Amino acid sequence: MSYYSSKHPGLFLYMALVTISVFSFLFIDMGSAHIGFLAILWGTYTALRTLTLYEMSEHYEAYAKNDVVSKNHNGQASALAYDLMHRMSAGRNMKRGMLALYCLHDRTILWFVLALFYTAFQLHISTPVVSKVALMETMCTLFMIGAAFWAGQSYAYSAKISRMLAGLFTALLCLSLVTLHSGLSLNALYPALSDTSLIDIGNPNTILVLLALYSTAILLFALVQKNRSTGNILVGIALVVLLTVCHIILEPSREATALWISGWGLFSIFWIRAYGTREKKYVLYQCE
Amino acid sequence: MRFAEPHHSRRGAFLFVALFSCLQITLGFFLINGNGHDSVLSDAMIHAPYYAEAEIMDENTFDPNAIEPAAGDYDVTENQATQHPEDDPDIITQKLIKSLTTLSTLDSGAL
Repeated sequence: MSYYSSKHPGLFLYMALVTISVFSFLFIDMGSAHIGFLAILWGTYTALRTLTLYEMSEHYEAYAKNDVVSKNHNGQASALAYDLMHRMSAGRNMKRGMLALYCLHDRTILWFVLALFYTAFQLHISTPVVSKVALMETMCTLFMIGAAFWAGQSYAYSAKISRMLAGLFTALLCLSLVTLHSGLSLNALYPALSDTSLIDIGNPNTILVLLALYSTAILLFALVQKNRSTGNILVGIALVVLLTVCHIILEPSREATALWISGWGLFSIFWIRAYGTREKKYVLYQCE
Repeated sequence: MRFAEPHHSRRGAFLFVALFSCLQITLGFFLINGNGHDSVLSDAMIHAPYYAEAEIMDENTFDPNAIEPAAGDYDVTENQATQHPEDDPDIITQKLIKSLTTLSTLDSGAL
């Protein structure tokens, strides 16, 4: 997993992990060991992805300035050409890696801080009544959702990859919604909103609503700025609203976890692409 | 669509994500190894035989009449000898005689 040798390192591993996680939560009776195994896979993948980005962040400048032909090919006749070609392709990959660093932007880190507050608060509330295993399972599933959200951002700089990821996540989200359609009843939404429990700070859903409001505010801020992608912003806001409503309606369950993983993974694409500027393509026509 | 290149990413952000992944891996190992069992439940399961034994062996609180076997249950007092045949003195004597006979036969053969 390095940008020296690959265009999008770890992309297929990420897609495979998302697919396996969603299908496992939807169709398999998951025990604690299964969730622990998935958490280890996600944690290992996140660590590897972090190392990839760190390598690229630390060595990009030294790599870009280094214009010496590599010693490995000095004795060959095609040393210069080979080395130049290799460096050009690797340079393009490194450039992609620089764009991937947007997943470590301040607004994303602040989103994660809010999410950690939500996790800590939910654990604090449920500690007296829930067993230790259930608490650890909850933490693992929340971390999986966060890892899917973060890693999705690190690939969403590319339009081609974004379309691929959006297709996968949309399919998984629709599958989760179809599986959960019996639990999706709007009748449960009215009491949740009408009893003003969301204003109560003791309700963990309050922090989740704050998280959704923060996400919406970030997207609206991008909308105010010039030359931003309006379509991505509006779809992102609609997705945040959908996820928040589903979270309030649905009871915590394995199927709901699959919905969160696919939903927040899909949202990560719009979250990162909302700040991409529209490119104006200038084409030179040569008249004969 | 294009993005402007970020100048530098902070090391704190990398550290944040690295800690996040390490915590996730640790929790996963805990769940797989089964160390996350509910401590209250496991303590109760461990101490349950101990408390039961202490209650029975306590002469002040133990009441044998309180335990009445139901119809068809195994009667412990009647069949205790047949349950443990090694405790019967006749059988022990027979075994002792048999072993002594075997020993004498071996000695005579050796001589």
